[in-house]
Amino acid sequence: MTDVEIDETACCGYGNCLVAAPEVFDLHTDTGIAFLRPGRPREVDRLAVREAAADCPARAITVRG
Amino acid sequence: MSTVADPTGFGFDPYDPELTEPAVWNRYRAAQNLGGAVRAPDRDGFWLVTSYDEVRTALRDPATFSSASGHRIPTDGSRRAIPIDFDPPLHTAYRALMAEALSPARVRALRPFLAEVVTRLVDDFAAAGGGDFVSAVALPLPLQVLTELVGFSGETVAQFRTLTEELWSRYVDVDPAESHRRLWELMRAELADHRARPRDDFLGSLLHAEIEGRPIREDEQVGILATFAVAGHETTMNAAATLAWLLVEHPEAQAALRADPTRARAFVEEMLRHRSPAQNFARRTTCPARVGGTAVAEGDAVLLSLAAANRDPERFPDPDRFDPDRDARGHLAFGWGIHQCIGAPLARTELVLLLEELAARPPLCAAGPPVWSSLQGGNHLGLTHLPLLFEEET
Repeated sequence: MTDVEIDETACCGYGNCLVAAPEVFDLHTDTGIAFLRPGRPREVDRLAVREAAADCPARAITVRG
Repeated sequence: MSTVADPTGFGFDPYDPELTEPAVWNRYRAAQNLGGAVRAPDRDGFWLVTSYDEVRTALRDPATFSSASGHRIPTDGSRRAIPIDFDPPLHTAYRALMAEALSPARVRALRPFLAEVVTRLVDDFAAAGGGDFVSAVALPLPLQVLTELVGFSGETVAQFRTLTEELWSRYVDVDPAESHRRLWELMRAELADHRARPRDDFLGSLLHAEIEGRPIREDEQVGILATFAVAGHETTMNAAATLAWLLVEHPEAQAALRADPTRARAFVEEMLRHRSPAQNFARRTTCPARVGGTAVAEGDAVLLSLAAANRDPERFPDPDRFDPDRDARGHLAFGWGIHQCIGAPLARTELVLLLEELAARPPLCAAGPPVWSSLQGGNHLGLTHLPLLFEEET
């Protein structure tokens, strides 16, 4: 399983991640900060998650595996 | 303004004074109807890119779509702004230095100050019985933030608007060099003042900063400060005034916001999508590329229209409709990728605070006709005059 982490202190709320991988990422409506969706699939699209990490201007996403 | 005439191309002069509200949106739509990328013969020639997917793809590929020739048409590489007109690795170093002033932690710490400025400006506006929202609220908001954020003096920021307007007016048909020189002189004076009287602010930290392991040069300090001075006020000013204008234009949306102020964030995002304040950014190709199914030669200029992309019906259904209930996320108003607006977290915070403050007052209504600018510097669309007032509470 691809391991994804969001550094909430680094996240600037750009929201690029949820365009690349909408099944994995979302933004809190109140704070605008990204979070991992609780119901995200165990086997996510690795390419999409890597694209989300690469697209993050704040470099707040780490992908392992 | 020329009309569509192939094979010579699609007339689009970014400095055309006729490209204003609402004509500019029709022009983008006309380009979109011809394809993802159309050839514009104006200002040495360039490809106008208006499709969401094509604009985002180009923004994600800085190796192919270089910024080193500048983000304005024509891309002649003169008067490069820091950091936007640089490619990695130098861009990365400049951006990291500037990001210190605009980090989420810094924005969170600034929040009480921002809320206080917003409340005071709107208080004064209400007490005066309304007036021109641009000069009374939309402009002073970012200027006051710049004094706190960067360490500019009040006297210095008071000159930013006039200098910027003069700068853009020259881009239409005069060499803007003299306006740039005046802006840079003002930045040098601030640096000298901080050297003489050291202060613990961003400007002070810039005096001793390092770029790629060497001391920063004065022209780099001046360039960084000039970006804060121009990009740091104009975009926010235009966004703030556009928000207020939308409230008046869409009374039902204003009523919904007043009933539920938590809608402010979504309202701001839809404004950014629907009326992107910074509309067009140029690149130059470093190799042959395909854009919108069209072959683009190495060294060609491309103008990526964020504003048009945000109205691409393939990405946003019924795109010309302002709908604060839609999911506008993924819009390109702040750009995308390595050059994505470094001030976005600050701007979003300021704009949400402003909208919440306005929603907590009596209904806002028009007090006269609004005046829109043309694309300033080929890029910035906003209101130059917006007479508004709060309705009397009954």
